[in-house]
Amino acid sequence: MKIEKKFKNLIKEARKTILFKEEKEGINLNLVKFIKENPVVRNPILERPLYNPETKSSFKIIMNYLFEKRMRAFAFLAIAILLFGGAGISFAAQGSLPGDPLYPVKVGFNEKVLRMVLFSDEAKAKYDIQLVQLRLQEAEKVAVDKGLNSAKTAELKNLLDQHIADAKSHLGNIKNSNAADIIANIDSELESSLAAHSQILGKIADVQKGQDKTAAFVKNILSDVQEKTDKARIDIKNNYSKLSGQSSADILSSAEGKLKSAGNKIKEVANFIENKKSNVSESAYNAAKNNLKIANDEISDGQVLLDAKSYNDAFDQFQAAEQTAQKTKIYVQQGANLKIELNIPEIQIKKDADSENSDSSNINQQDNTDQNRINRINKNISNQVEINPQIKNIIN
Amino acid sequence: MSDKDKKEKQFLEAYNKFSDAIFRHCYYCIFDREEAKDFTQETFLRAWKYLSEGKEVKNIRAFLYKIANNIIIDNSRKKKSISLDQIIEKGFSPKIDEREKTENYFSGKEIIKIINSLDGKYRDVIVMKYIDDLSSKEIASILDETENNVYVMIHRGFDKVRKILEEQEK
Repeated sequence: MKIEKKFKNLIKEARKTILFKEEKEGINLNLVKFIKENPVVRNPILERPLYNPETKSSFKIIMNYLFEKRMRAFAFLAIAILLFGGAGISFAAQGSLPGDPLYPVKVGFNEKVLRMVLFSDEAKAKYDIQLVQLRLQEAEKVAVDKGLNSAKTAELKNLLDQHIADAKSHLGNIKNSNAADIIANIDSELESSLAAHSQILGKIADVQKGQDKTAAFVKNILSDVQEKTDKARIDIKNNYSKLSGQSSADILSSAEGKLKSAGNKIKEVANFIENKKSNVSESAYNAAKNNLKIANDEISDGQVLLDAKSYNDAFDQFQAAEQTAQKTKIYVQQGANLKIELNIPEIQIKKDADSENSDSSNINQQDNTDQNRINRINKNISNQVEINPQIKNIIN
Repeated sequence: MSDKDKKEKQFLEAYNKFSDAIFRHCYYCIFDREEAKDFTQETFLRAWKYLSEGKEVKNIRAFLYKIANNIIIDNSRKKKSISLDQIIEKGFSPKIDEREKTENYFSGKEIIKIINSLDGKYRDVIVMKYIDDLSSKEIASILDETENNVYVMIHRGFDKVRKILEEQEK
């Protein structure tokens, strides 16, 4: 009896094991993002519920029948907008773009309501970074449709400023022991998004050059995004200095955490590229896959640095791999969404001593952060490293 | 609300309801908090991928456990088994409440020691039966076993647990 009781108590303790609030919110955010990128495929089977409840009332069966026909659903939506205003409008506003009558509902109401369900500063900061990405996607969509004007440009720039300021303010409130890692991760994501979208906007500006008066507005947003990218790079440099001030055990743990998250990001992007294969050109698909191989090389380089106990540089290297994968994802995503050929840039790391003198106009060597990283690798890596076999399998 | 939105909402509700349980299941099968977190996320991503293609699921809870179990099996094939010392060395932190951390540390260590000393097949059923609180029918569907086999495994697994606890008492 005593044994049973002891076992029961142990089980009781084991059942207290749960996700931390921040972890649960973090996964939730990733899940929402994934759902958005992989929406429900419309087919007749989906008219059925997602999963069968144990019991199904006749009321539910009748309701399912009533709402099976799309026309009735549309009619219902129209009535909702007419009768109930708020909820219907809010729903209809979700897909709106700058300049649309419902756009202020989307940015002024829907997005603020969604923010209210997030508790931690980390989750709120991540949410703000996602809003930055969304604004940039909207800017690109309107630019491709040649719909930019001074009002829309000013609105988008203001919103970008606001989201970045909000994210920074939440990051400033994070005081726990992982604060440095969290801030580094979020700043890195912001920089990747800004840099990738800056490339895309640059491409759109090039295509529209001299064709249309809206091209000037594209250039205006582009220069704003480039400025923000530069600021984000400075933040990353500052984070790097802060990280250097930690104990070596802390830096090691940060580097190991970054290794894991970079590996996961590469896996995620590899799956994403495969899913979007039919929506992008063959050359874009191949360039994206090549970029992932480069990200994988960066991981391998980082592992060498980790083994050499150069934890700071290893962290930096894993972060670079994560950024390479993130940027690749954005190129593929927008290439598919905007239906334009983006000529996905191939991010190359030269390991020879001449790399410092490489062409500064080359987008692959465009910033000092990358250059410093390359120089550090040159210093630390003498032998060719092997591709991490686990990730190689995913990419091939 | 459109059908699409309803399905997304239903799925996110399932996440809120079952994510802790799936995480716990993963944790007590692999004893690595970070990896358990990754496996939990992977479980829900795979589940959504399946459901978004219009495929139907009768019991979402059992379905999630089945995916989680497949992820654990796939990964355990790639990894060597881990000793209790390694688990402790990596840091045992399965509790959420800092105030309870010290007292729970010892019972946590004990349950890990017991579960870790069971053979894989018994460990799975003991975790599912007692920690996950799944019915024998659900365990049978997750493991693709008959209910009778599951009863036998639970019984034998519990006998082993009892022996370990008796040894500790001596």
